[in-house]
Amino acid sequence: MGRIISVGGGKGGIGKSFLTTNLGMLLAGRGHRVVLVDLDLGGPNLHTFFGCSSVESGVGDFLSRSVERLDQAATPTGVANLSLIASCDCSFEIANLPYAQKRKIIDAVRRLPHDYVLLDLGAGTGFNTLDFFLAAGEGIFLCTPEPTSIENAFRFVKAVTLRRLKQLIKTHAFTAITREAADRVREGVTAPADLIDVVLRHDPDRKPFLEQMLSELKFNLVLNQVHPRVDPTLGYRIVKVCNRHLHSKFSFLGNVNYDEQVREAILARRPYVDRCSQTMTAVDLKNLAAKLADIGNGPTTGELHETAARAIALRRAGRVPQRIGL
Amino acid sequence: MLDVSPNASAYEIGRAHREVLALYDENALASYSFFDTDERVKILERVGEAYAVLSDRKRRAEYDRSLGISSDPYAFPAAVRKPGQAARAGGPGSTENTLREKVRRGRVNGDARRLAARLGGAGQVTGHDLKLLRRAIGLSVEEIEAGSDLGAGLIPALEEDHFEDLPSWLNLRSSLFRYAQLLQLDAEKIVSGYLSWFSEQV
Repeated sequence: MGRIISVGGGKGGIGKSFLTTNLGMLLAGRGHRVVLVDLDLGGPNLHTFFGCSSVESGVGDFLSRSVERLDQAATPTGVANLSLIASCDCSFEIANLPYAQKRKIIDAVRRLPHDYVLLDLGAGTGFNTLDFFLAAGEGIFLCTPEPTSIENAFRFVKAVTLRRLKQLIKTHAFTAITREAADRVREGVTAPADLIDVVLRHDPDRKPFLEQMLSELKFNLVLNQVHPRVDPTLGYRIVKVCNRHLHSKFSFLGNVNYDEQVREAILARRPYVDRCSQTMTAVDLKNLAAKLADIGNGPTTGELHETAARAIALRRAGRVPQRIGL
Repeated sequence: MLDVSPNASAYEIGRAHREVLALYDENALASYSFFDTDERVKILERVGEAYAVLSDRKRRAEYDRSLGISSDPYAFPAAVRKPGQAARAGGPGSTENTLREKVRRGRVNGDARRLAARLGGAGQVTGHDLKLLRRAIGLSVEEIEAGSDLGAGLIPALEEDHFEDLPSWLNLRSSLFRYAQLLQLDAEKIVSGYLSWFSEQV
């Protein structure tokens, strides 16, 4: 089985589909077999990034059993090693996916034979979005350096964590009181910390188990649309806060420089790195793809810390780098 | 809470404290929306308590004992301690004496003499002035840190005007005084000259 990486972030319009498309292109360019799955079921448009106005097959065909396996619903993108499973063929009511169909999609995604499966998720923190995010072994959470986007990114990671906690409590041996709290029968549980408090009070011996399971959740932060004046250490600070107050593993994957040509690429309905391969933004995207590929082969934490230290040193010396040199 | 190692120096603890306060500031973009007001207040109380313990010699020793840490918390951090301690214990030929000898020789050259005379007479002393003098004497930052008990990072912070990395006011006075003595300057004048300039900058 290959690596399944979900791309989410809470807020709409921050570049989730843009990032999915371009990371897919770059990973395919490195020789990996990549498939992009459009799981923004209520607002699919991953196909548009490749200039397709409609697709012959997609998630809808798989759900209606027109095809047996999900990989049979894939459409070639014209890029070697890269295919797309679109969802624009689905019903307009597909966003309200029944549980059985959601389960069917998740199981099928896990059986895809590709090296990399990138899941493009919708905005918000609906259960379908959270469950698709959790279906992957690791996730990218994306935000832009604005308060609104960061606020929604925090809500997103907390919602994912709470959802995972509830799943674990429901499917493992916990006392009835803890299970009731996870079932929302008891009031006052609004955040992951509230549920962990309940566990500490009623199932203290299960805390190490929960911590272990939560630590297997891996979030990689990408900051998109980063202007030169933005503090280059912002991503590290966001990740530091998350690591200090949530139990999962958060890493900062890197910044993506703001570029007007991104909009032009979307208007032209072509993948950005296909049109602009030498811009700072393209280099950032290439670095992200390289780092993502390397994370699969071993930790890069030391490298990340070194980059953070360098960025901080530059900032203190009054030389704010235009982009972080990842 | 402060993310410091058990053998962190007072300087490192002060810096970590400032960094944590900045991280949890109510206007910090990276964290303000992560917490509600109550959570932030509780965290800042815990940070304050951690700093109160770690910055108080007796309380820190008690805390270390409760954790079963036996090392001397007021020893210098490893990177500074090794050469510095060797110097104090080693007598003639030690790193500290080598450094003093090098300063004595370096102070004789024309540039260093002129700069030292100018600093002694000037009302204000800047970090850049100290850098020029250090260079004129022919000393590297690493040599000074290895041969003296000045904390790691102090000299770059002074020279490059990284005010946020400087120690607290009292420690700054004391460190500056010792640094000026090491450079064979009129320590009182240098301290008051620098602090006068520094207070205009921050």
